[in-house]
Amino acid sequence: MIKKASLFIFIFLTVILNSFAQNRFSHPPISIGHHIKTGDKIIFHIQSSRGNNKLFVTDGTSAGTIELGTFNILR
Amino acid sequence: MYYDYPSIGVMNGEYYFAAAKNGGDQVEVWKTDGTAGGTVQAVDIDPDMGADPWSFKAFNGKIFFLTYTSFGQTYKKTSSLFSLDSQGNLESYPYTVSNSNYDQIQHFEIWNNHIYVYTPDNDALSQLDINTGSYTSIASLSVEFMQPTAEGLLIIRITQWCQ
Repeated sequence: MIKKASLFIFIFLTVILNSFAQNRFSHPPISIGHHIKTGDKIIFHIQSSRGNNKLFVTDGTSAGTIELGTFNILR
Repeated sequence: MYYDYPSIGVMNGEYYFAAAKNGGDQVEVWKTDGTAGGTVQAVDIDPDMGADPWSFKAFNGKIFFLTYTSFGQTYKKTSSLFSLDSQGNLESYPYTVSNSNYDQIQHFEIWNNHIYVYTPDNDALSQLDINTGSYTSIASLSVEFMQPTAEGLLIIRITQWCQ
């Protein structure tokens, strides 16, 4: 009886932990949305997993990557 | 479905896009010149519910786009074609389908110095005269997709729905 209960708890915890791990790690923390290249710059959206939407411009350098604003919704 | 369309348009070195800010969910037209200070709301088309603009395309010194506006009517929203110049002057190009409650332009494309729109309510592909705002129907067909190419305006047409 104790073995059966232990096995049930083991399976239950495995399923729960596996589900948690998939939800936690299967989605990247940020995703790049729409982007457009013009001249030597790219304008692009970034959406974080917490719904933080930012618009950036970059010329491909760290110093030339500028945050243009944070938005509730960015399409 | 309309969110699949390109959502950033470029005109005169400024980028036009759809966004909502300041805690609200009303999506309107914004523009940026590539600086944080130059990132501003370009126009407020529908102060009540937000215009939900999409598909920004530059043509003839203006940025054209579709909106999904209520025009103060909370029970329905209609998709319409608008243009905005760099001074912020807004123009609308309404398309009225007889016996329909909606002004539904689902796609528009620019090709060969003309604007073509597809209205699913009457399955019409029409050409817009931007000087008069009038439309001329040029074909009757169900348009799923339009893309300008060097050879012409590529149109993917629905001939039959399969189940």
